[in-house]
Order: sequence, then structure tokens, then C-alpha cells
Amino acid sequence: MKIVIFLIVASLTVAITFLVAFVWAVKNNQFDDTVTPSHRILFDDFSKRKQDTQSNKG
Amino acid sequence: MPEENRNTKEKLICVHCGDDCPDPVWSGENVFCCTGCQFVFEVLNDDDLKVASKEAAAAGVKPRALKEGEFEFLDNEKVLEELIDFREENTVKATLYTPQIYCSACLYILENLNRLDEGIIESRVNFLKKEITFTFDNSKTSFRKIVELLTTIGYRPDLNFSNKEKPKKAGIMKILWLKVGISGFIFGNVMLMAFPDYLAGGKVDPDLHKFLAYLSLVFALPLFYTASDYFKSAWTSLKIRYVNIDVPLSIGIVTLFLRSVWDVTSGAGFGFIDSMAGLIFFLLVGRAFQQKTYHSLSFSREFKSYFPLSVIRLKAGKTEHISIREIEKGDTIRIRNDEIIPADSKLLAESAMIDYSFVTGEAKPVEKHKGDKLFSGGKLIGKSVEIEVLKEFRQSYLTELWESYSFGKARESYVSGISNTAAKYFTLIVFLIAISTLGYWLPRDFGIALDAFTAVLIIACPCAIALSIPFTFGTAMRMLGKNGFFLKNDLVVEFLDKTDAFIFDKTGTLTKIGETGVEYIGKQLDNALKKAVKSGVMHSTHPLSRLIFDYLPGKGSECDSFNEIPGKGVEAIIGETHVKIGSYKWLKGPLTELAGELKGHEPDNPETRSYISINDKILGYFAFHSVYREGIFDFIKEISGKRRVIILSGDNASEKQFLESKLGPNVEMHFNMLPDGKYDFVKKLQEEGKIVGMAGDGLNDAGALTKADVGIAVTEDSAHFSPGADVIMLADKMPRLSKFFRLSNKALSTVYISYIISVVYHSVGFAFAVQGLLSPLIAAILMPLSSLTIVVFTTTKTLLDSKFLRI
Repeated sequence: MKIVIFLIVASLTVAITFLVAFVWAVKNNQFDDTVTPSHRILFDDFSKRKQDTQSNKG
Repeated sequence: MPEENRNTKEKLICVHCGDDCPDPVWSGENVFCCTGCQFVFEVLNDDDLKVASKEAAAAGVKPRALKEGEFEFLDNEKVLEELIDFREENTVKATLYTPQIYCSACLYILENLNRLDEGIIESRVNFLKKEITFTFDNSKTSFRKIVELLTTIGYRPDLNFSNKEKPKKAGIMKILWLKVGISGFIFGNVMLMAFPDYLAGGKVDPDLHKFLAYLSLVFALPLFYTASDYFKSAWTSLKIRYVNIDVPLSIGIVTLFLRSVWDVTSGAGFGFIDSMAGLIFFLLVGRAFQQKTYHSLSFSREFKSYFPLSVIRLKAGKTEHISIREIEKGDTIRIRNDEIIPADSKLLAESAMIDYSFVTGEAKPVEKHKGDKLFSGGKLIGKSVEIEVLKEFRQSYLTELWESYSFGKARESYVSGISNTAAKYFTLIVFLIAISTLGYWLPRDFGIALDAFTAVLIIACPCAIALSIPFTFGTAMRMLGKNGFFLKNDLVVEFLDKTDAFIFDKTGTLTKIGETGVEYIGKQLDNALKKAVKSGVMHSTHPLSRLIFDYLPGKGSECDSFNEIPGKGVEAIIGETHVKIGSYKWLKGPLTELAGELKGHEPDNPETRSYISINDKILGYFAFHSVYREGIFDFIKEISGKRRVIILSGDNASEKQFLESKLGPNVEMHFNMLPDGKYDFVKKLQEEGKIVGMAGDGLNDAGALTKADVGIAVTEDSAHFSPGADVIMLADKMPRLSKFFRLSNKALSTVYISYIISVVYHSVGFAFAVQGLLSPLIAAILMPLSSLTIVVFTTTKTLLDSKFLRI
């Protein structure tokens, strides 16, 4: 039965890691603007697209 | 082809992004929802935006109107300081509000601004706030250049003083999200830790049981941080000898914890930590749901945002741009068409038309003559004039008017009437039950007495009651927001239908701003005379002349002689016809005749009229009246059945008769009201015990709106000035206001029903509790179940209600 206690401690460690990640994300303003990034992702970077077109031509 | 498309009413779809185009931008045969789309569409096949923009310019893509020297004032250091966020040597950071941000294409172009101007280091867009934040190198470019660039590509920034106001709400939300996350985490984990006990029914390995029980106690500690707001609120209310909903909540939470500590340390059981965590988690979720922020709206935009940033000062024959804070007494400044007079001053030009509708509520522009005093806040109509400043900006009429209001509303947050009345009775009943339970058990069994007493306090925790308002009003608020009716805070929903006196402003609220109806009364004019009159007003810049010009059909012709006499009217000779248009007093001479049709029309009516005389015979007059919003009268009649409806207008009484004929005797009307008068009117009604609602739009309503219990700022576009309002409403939604009232009413009854439901749950709980039979398992089922029922019921019912009302 003692192994269960070890498992609980192990799983809690994992869970707490995620909680810390969440706290960090909130404090890092990642939840401040949830709309703009969803639009931003639709576009490639300029420099990257330039390279792509050049490599396509070549 | 495109010309035809423009006239048809079919839905326009943006060629680039496929969205609807409420405000279409045309380029050849293509239609775009915004300039961003147009721009990106045109450069999409190019590698480099810079090349493309040059090509676009060469190809004649029309840059957006940028007036020569329009942004010259941005070179002034003092003005600049008002606008930038921060500066370090040559690196400058600034945020601009650009209302034209509409779709992803806008984002694309605005975030790649450095392709167009090398001095820009980085630019970031906040889509919801419609803001662009950029960092630039001041040695390579300048703020002015960037603003001009933005204007050229179609994103004219809204430059004003209140740009720098930063909302504090974001920080509160952040903390709330943290608390929701942490308590959710604890809720989930502790519930799992409690499961072995619930499922195995006490046959758990004692070591494991002990380990889990103590672990859950440790997990309970952070809950005191997440629930700290409830404790604070309960404490503040107790200090002023008042019981709000947070008092029984806090007692419940503390009892849950103490009882759990006792159970665990004495080895009696597992404790109630899972119920405690669940309770706090649900409460915080409710609170998060309650907070709905409209990012692009500001509910207390200051009057300063109404002023221009700078003015042109004439000094020693030279013109210079200065910040309006730098204006000094005795300065001569130049005001152009459509500009606001920033400080009280004296008119130096012969005459000027000043529109005070925003400040006083007068519908029509006032004519001022040389030497007249001009109050700040008026808008100049017509050609530019020079004025001499009499008072500094800070001491001017408008500034002082505003300052006297800024302390108007002491109430920062609403105290919800119903939830606190409910809390008061609820707490009283709970304590009666708890004390009598204790009284019954104490002589019989001390252990059971303690168990039962704490169990009653635990069950009493009014979680369901505390949740019903956030979810009902929160949902209603979202539904209203979708309809252009933006509430500052969800508790306004409660007050909306409770108002028993409702005040309307006339100009700009009931009537449409910038639209004036014209009517001709008198002897019928034939086409030749119409043409003569039209020619006569053609060269006049007087607003009434413009209205007459637009009203008459056909085209005007050149006059042989034309003369405009300020304050009187215009005079023109076209061939044989001598036309005079102006005031009755001026036209009436010893030789003038009056057309028969005008007999009985008293010229002293306060209504604004322009008389016309042809060859010294007065034929008739043009009457001007406001244009009322569609459906407005039906709506006012509808709401006046239940409450006192009053119209307070800063304008003269010329439309009194018309309004009376439309609204009937139930509606009170007061005219020539000064801003102070409106404020006092609201105050008087409140002293009579009325809950006062008010809808207004101008600065003359600012004080009254702030004072009113529900102040609704009516605005044509949401970026406009809104003084201390509780609600911002788009002007065209005005006739739907009665539906919003009905939704408010429905929401209240939803809250009452949910109270009954939660009382049923509590009664079941009390039945267990008073017998000392409340096990952690029962609590862990009953408490989340009651909360969930309330959440589902209130949200669904409010959604159905709004669907039913067709909101």
C-alpha cells in the first residue's frame, strides 16, 4: 500500500509543476489579450516569406 | 459597374478577407472591409511592402485625406509629452488608438510598419482595444511622421488627452484568474484525495487515510488567499453593523475549515476540505463571469478628450502650434471650421456661428459678433476666425463645469439591493436554526451538539444565492452588449427596470444630431422663384442658408449682386428679382407687404424661421425643426405607463407643442435647462425616494448622468465622450430600450426563482444537519449540486428570455 503514497507524491509534483506554469503565464500577461495572437498567427513573417519565394524561384 | 454596386443594398463582401463590409472601401471594382485589406490585397503578390506601397502610390491608390500641415502640432514637445508612454534617449514608445482596426489584414500591415518607415523598431497591435503600440528611433523618424504615415494608409489615430488613461481593471482580472486557477487546482486534487474514503467506506488503510487527510489540510491553506476578498468584504460590512451576503459565506468557509481540522486531528474523519474548495472555486468562477469588460469602451472618458491637442497661436505676425495647456490670457488664437473653442475668449472676427449643442443642448448654432464672449466647448461652423483668450484653459467655463461634477457620484460599486436583503433574512434564519439546534442537543450529547451546530453553519453557506446574481446578470449583460447596449457593470441590470423616474435629454438623444428638418410655409413658390431663392443662399456660409439650399430642388445661378448682413440675412439681385432671406424684423419695412397665406402666423414664435421676401413682398418662411429618431415616441409612451417620464432640454421651448401632440399629457417637459438645473432636478427626484434613470448625450447632461442611478450615455459611435455613465448605448438602439427594460425585469424574476430553488436545497441540508447526520459525503454532493443547478438554471433562463424578447 505504501507505493500508493509514493505515486500520489509523484503525481502531485507533476500537477504542481503545471500550476506553477499557469501562475507564471498569468503573471506574464499571457491572458491579457487573447484575440490579437489568434490573428497574428495567420501571417508568415516577412523575412521568412521572402526567403520562401526566393527558394521557390530558385 | 462599381457605381451600380454602390447603390444597391445587397451585402458587400470584402474581396480580401470575406467579411461583411459595413463601411466599404472601394478600389476599382473591388470592395474591401477596410483599408488594411485593400492594401494587403494590392501588395499580396509582392515580396516587399515598401516597393508595393510605392507602386500603389504611383498607380494612384488614393491616400486617405491628409491635410497639409494637419499634424504639424506634433512637433511641439509639450504636445508630444502628452502622447508618448516613455522615452529613453532616442528610443520612444507610444500607444495610439486607431478605431479603424477591423480585421486581420489591419494587424498584418500595422505590425509590419517598419517596412514602410525604417525608424520604427517594433509595432504591436491590440485588437480588442484597437490600439497600436510602437517603439521608434527618434533620430530616424518622428512621432509626427508616423502619425502621418498611419493616416495615409487609412488608420487615422484618435489623438487626444485621455489617450494615456490606463484601465486598472486588467490587474484585477489577472488576480481573479490566478485565484480561479489555484482554487480549481485544489478542488480537483482534494476531491480525488477524498474519494478513497467515500468509496471504501472507512476501510481504507489507516496510514494512507491519515496521509491523505493531512495532505488535504495543507492544500486548504492557499484557499484562504483565494477567498480573501470574501473575508474582507464581510469584515467591512460587519464594521458598519451591516450584514451582506459575504458574512454567512465567510462564516461557512471558516466553519468548514475548523471542523475539518478538528475531524482530522482527532481522527474522527476526513473533513470537508473538498466541499470548501468546491465552494470557493464556484464562487470565484461566478465572479469571473460577472466581469465583462468592453475593451474599446471607456465609461468615464474625460471632457478633455473632446478638445483638440493644440491650437494655432498668432504671435508677432507668425503662427505657431502650441499645446492647449500653454494658452495664456491675452493670446490670439485661430480656430478653424469644426474646431472646438478651448478657452473662454472674445471674438475678433466680424461674426461667427458657434454650435453649442454639445455643451448646452441648444439645437441650433448661435451667431456671435465681434467682441462677444465665447465660452469654451463651442464648435465653430464656417470659415476660420481669430479669437482673443480671456481665461486660461484650466479656468475656463467647460473645465470648471466638469470639475464641479467630478465628485458627483461617490458610489463606485453598486450594492445589489436584492442579494443583500436576501442575505439579511437568510443569516437571521440560519442563526436561529443553529442556536436552537445547539440548545436542543447540548443537554443530551455534547459531541452531537457540536457536530450539528457546525453542520448547520456549513450548510448555511449561501453559495447558490451568491451565484444566482452573477450568472443571471452576467448573461443579461452579455446579451445587451451584443445589441449595442454596454453596461459598465452587471449590477446595473437590477436597476434598469427599477427606475421609477426616467429623464430624457432632447437634443442628440431624442433627436438626431446634425440633421435638421426644413419646412416651407406660406405662398407657394413657382420654379423660377425657387431658383431665385436658391441662388440667393448659394454663396452664404450661414448654416440656415445651407439647409435652405439643400432643401430646394434644382440648381442655383449666379447673382448679379449679393450681400450678406451678419445677424440679419442675405440679399441678392438676380435679373429683375430682388430676393431677401432673413429675420422677420429685418425684412419688414414700411413698404413691405405680407402674403395672404401668412395671416395668423405670429412671427414671435420661438421656432427658428427664415422669412423670404421677393421684391419687398414677404411670401413665406422656412421653419426649422429637429429630426426625431424613428420609433422614439412609441417607446416613450410605452415606458411612461410604469414610471414618470420627463424631458429636460437645454434648448428653447419651440418644439414643446409638437412633443406634446406626440406624447400626450403624461410626459413632463422642461426647457431652457442649464446643466446645473438638470443636476438639481435629478437630485430632487432622488430625495423624493425615486430611482432615477437618465439618457443624455452632451456635456450639459454630464452632471445629471453622473448623479442619476442609471446614467445612459447615448452616442453615435462608441469612441465618443461619455461622462461618468453606467451604460453606453449606441444611438440607433434607442427605440429598443423598452426591450432592454423588459429583460431587466425578467432577470429579476429569474433571481427570485433561483432563490427559491436554493432554499429547497438548503432545507434538505438542514434536515441532515440538525440531526448531526451531515457526513462529508452528503456535503460534497449537496453543495456542488446546488451551485450547478443555479448556474444552469439562471443562464438558460436568461438566454431563453432574451431570445423570447427578440433581443
